[in-house]
Amino acid sequence: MGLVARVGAWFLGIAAVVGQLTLFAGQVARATLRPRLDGLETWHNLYRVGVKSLPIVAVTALFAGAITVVQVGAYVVKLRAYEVVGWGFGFSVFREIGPLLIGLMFSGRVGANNTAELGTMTVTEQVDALRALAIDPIDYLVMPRVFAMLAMMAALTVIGDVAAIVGGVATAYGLIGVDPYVFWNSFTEYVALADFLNGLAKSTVFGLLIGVVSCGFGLNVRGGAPGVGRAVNASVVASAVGIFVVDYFLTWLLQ
Amino acid sequence: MIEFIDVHKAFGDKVVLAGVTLTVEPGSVVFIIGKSGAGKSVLVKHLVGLIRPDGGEIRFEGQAISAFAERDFYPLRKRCAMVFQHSTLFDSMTLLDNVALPLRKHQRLGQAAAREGAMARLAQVRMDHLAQRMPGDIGDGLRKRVAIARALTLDPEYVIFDEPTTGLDPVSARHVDALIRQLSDELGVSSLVVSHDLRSIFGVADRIVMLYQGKVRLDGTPGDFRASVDPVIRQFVRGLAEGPMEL
Repeated sequence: MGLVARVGAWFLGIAAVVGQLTLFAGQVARATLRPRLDGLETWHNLYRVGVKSLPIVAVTALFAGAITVVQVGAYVVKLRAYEVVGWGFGFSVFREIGPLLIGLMFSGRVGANNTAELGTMTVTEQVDALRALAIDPIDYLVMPRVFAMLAMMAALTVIGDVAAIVGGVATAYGLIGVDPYVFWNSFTEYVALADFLNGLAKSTVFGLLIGVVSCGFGLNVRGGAPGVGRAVNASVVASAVGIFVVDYFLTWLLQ
Repeated sequence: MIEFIDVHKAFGDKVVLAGVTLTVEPGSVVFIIGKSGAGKSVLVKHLVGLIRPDGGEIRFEGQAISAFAERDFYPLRKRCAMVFQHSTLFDSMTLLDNVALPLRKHQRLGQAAAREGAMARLAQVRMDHLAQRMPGDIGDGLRKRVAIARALTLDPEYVIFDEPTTGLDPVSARHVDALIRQLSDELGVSSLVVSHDLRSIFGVADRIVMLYQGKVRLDGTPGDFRASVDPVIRQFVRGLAEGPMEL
């Protein structure tokens, strides 16, 4: 196959995936018009998606906060700008680093797991069995998962923000000797509620994106176990790319 | 009554059904037989909309269903249950919750009431003692019995059994045969059974339909099959390796 044909085939493949996901997102959007969340499935997914992700998100956020302070530490000492550490830290972590890193971690842990589970259910005909029992897989399997991911991404971001502050304060004190009181004053004085809400809005959209992408790839698996592996891989890549693209536009929109 | 009228289906270049016509009368037990890959499972999945025909028509109690949208099939699926070839129990639930799910979703029962109803269904297939086990913890034959219990939870008028005795020990297989016969005789449930199990076929069927090369080769009673002089049918019924049947 020539180079042009290969590039063409690659573009056609991407277009097919985007088209498939768009149609799937349309099905999810239609299902939200007749909300029939299964209570047990929703609770089960809230626990699986949220509680089980808590340790990894807390650790990630703790170190993200610490790393942010490490990065700016040398300049803070050089410029003796101790009173702006809290502001710089809060602005970047709340608005950008927190939602982005938690989104990527969430995609890798929850999104991949979700695609694998739904993909396995698809190739073993469990999804067809649900349909044969007159139970809509979108209502029963997808909506509770998407809702749980959306809600828990927001909740985990709040918890992650707190963990990041702890990491940031501890590192600022230990590394560059910034008194926690000075850090906190700078943080509360310059970081506005809008910065926090900006990050929260981004996280919620990332949660929705990861939910739709991971469920879409899972329910469209073809080709047995190798197909499930390919779908998990594609789901994580698509979610990560989607997070960055959506983040770009949201950052621009929410300025 | 269920009617398949000149149903065609192909997957790519491979023609699986090339004009199949058959009817299932209320209360009857109809076996679909044929070699592996003959299109038996494909044919029965058309009835509940899991596969759509390329041509022809399918009628359920006089209503044409071939052009139904996915959601139009849901009322039909409550009346026409299906037991899949590989059981297809939900891996993340106990056996009890697998059977309770249709009750919880369609009869709007709480979890406790649905589990109570499910336990009675499991007892019907002698699986109540394993109710709290997970599907992965039991063998294929036991999973199949649970799948049958799950399919019967909504008291369907029609049941599709896709190879219900494959993988079962002889005693369990005869128990399933008896259950299919009992559903028909006592409750008037119609069964459409895909099977290779000659003992089931000749022990339970009211009518047998043999698919060969995408078409119905013979549609008749067990007696008609035993008496047939068609070499293809004779080879299949006698289970002979040598004969005119294409592999």
